[in-house]
Amino acid sequence: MAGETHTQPTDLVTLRDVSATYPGADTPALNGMDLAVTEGEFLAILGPSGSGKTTALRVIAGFERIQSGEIHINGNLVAAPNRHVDPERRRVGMVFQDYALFPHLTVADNVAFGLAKSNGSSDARVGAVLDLVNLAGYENRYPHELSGGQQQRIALARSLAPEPVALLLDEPFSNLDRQLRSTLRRQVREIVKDHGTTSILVTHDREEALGIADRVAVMDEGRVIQVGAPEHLYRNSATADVARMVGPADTVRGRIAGPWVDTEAGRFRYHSPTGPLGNGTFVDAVLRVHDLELGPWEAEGAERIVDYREYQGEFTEYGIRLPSGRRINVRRRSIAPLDMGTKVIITAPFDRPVLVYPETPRG
Amino acid sequence: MTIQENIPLLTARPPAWLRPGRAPRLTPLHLAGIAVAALVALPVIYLVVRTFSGDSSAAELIFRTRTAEILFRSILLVAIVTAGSIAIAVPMAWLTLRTDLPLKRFWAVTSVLPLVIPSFIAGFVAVVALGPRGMLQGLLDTLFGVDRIPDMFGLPGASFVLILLTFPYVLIPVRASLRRMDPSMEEMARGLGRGSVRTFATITLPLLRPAIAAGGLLSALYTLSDFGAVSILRYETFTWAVFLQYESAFDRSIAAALSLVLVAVALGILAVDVATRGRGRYHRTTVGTVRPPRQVELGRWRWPAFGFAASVVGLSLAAPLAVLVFWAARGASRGEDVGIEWSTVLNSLQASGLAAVFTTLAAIPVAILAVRHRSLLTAAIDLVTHLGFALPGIAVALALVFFGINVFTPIYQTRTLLVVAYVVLFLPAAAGAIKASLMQVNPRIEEAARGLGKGPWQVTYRITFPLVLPGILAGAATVFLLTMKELPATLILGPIGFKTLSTQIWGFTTEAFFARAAVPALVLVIASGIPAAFLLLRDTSTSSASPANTETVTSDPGNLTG
Repeated sequence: MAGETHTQPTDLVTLRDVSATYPGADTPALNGMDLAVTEGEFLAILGPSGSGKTTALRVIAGFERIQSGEIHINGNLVAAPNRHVDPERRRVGMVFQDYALFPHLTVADNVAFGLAKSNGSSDARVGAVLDLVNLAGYENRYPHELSGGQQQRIALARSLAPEPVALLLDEPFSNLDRQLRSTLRRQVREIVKDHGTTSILVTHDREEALGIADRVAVMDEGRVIQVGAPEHLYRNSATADVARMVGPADTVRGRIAGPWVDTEAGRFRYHSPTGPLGNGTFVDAVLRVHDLELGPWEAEGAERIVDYREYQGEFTEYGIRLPSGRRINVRRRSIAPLDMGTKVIITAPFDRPVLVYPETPRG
Repeated sequence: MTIQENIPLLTARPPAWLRPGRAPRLTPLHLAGIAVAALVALPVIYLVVRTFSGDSSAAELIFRTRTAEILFRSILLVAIVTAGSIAIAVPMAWLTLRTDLPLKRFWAVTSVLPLVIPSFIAGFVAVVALGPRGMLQGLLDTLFGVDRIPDMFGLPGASFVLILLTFPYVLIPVRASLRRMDPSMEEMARGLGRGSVRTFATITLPLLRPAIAAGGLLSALYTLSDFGAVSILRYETFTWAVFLQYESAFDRSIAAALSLVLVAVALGILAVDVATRGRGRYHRTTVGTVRPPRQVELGRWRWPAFGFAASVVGLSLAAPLAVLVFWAARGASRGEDVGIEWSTVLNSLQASGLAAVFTTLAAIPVAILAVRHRSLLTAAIDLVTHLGFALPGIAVALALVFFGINVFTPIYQTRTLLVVAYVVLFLPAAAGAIKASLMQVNPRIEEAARGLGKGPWQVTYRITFPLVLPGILAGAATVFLLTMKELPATLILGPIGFKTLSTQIWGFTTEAFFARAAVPALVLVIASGIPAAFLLLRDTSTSSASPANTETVTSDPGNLTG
């Protein structure tokens, strides 16, 4: 593959204004998507179902064609409207949600599949990657003899064996139970980081995305809305949608008053990621379930009332009825529980101001 | 896999991929698919065109013959046989799955085996056993001095024989559906205070309706296309009438016109099926372990139920085999020539082998296109190649006769044209088997292989082909068996002097050389029975071992119609 166009050396995978529509579909799955993945980084694409995140992986891997834009891998143009490099020539490894192991081949043959015709070094490589995923000794098993977590690790080993330029992970943990998911998540991150492989993980699970990735790209309606380090994304969400995607939250209407935003839930310190806001501006205030505090309020006139309570062990989640009748949710440590019907005051801690965005016209 | 998945026409609403949007790219695969579809469709189209553009108009031809009478007789037979086979199959399915019926496993296995008995052999057995001066009458004469029993030729005999032959077509889907059914639904009904009988009637039976409809459709189409049993039992339905016209009349256009009406009736049955399939959702339990349902204790009904199962299996399987053995032995003991012509056996094996190879080769592109390259074009190809599923063998044969005489002249009266007929008739069976196994291959697996640096041909060779091979082999085996049993097309299209086991048995039977027919009949039943039993049993055992199994190809009885 002749690499005609060289992009910045540190950007290993780039998508520039990429659009892709599935045959027979009315709306494009990707709609002008831009993304640049740096060499060696672990990037997660987070988005609701239908946001185009899996399609993004599939156009990078070469399983789908694009109608406009350009995709470069390692400096080579691999996809454009008039150019389509076949998947087998892109040297990217893909790990699927349902593992997609070859059922008629042993673990060793699965892992060796992507290697050059068997020679001594191929056997050694199989052994090495099986070691890496902690499954040495399973060479002669068949996929159906393994547990789900083991199968997924074999799939990972199979993808890593031919030393791919980049590793694509399509919701790799979603078929596993919660416990296993978090263990395997940690293992995969360690394996991939040790190995130094550039990786793109697609998920709709915010904990997974924020926890595993160096950077997170939030997608919606076929394009990337924001890319950034997990904390930055959480603290400076570019839009109210992004804010809600990276942490459970309720949105209420508010109005800027000096350093405060006034809402029917109360008066909060705020942070405006989109820039300074003038006094009196109407905003959407994002009240994060995990980032608010509650205090009992005995005074007459307080109209925020506990009307739902869900004990979760260390934390209890409260439903608070606001004057308008709406309910917002607040999570609080379970010590000193509040009774149903308690009148409460809701506050935002000093270090976690409420995010506000200029009000969008509602349809 | 149930039958409606075999026929895109039958799916209620066009899925998203059917909506126009992409101009199909014509790959070599698409061209191969188009060629196969053309091979299947052209003779039939030709038959239609010829009939309607001939000297005498088709309407006149159809009117001149006793079409209405034949139509009535055919439909009557179809109705009786379909109802009868449902009436036997539903209790059989329930008894062998849900109750403490003695020897349940044994009945479960043996009750599907009548599928391997060709209808002309069943007809022959009925004649020698139940006919005038047949074995039953002889027995009754010796015992009670009865010298006359009711005549079994015509409708009674034909429907009796065909019910016993076709009930497995209903039994297989009903049993599969009953096995997949979540027992908690029935338990729920019982918990809500319904008795077991009312539960069966209000919950179980409606849930079985799609399976009964699918099986009933197969039974109806089998009956309509059956030639062997009705010709031997002398009940004049379309198939036999077409054959008689073809053999005797100078003007073959009457036969052509009649076979077109037959095709119309077959398509009509399909249309009725589509129309009545209705809004019902085809329930599929989720993958996972289905809790085995509690066994119903039959109590004092245990032995009557045993009697029912035993008589069904006895009449449909054991008795025919016993009669064949008896006649072969009697012929041998009387010094009659009961030997077998090896050239005939060889012809059968050769024709079946060629049919299996070529049908499978034709089915592979069709199956790949239908499963992996969905578009309007491939849906059309898939639909056309299903013609053989609805078309009676005799109509296909006749279409090929006309096509052969006028267009394919060099291959008329050769085995090649005969093999073409087999391909047209059995393509859906082979394609169905291949499609079923291809559908079980997750496309992600192929993509994973591409991503690991292998090109499309290598992926096909190293991943897809090994995974689909069992389906291809099952498809080929099914075509082989169906060809061994095939009668009307072989009779009409076989070159002069070309005899197979099936045409020879039919010839001996119609000339009343019963002893001489018995030995080739036994050979045919055993030769086709062993592999068929293997296919069916493999299916029965795997599916009873794991209730939520992925159904293998042979659980689709549509693959065994012919």
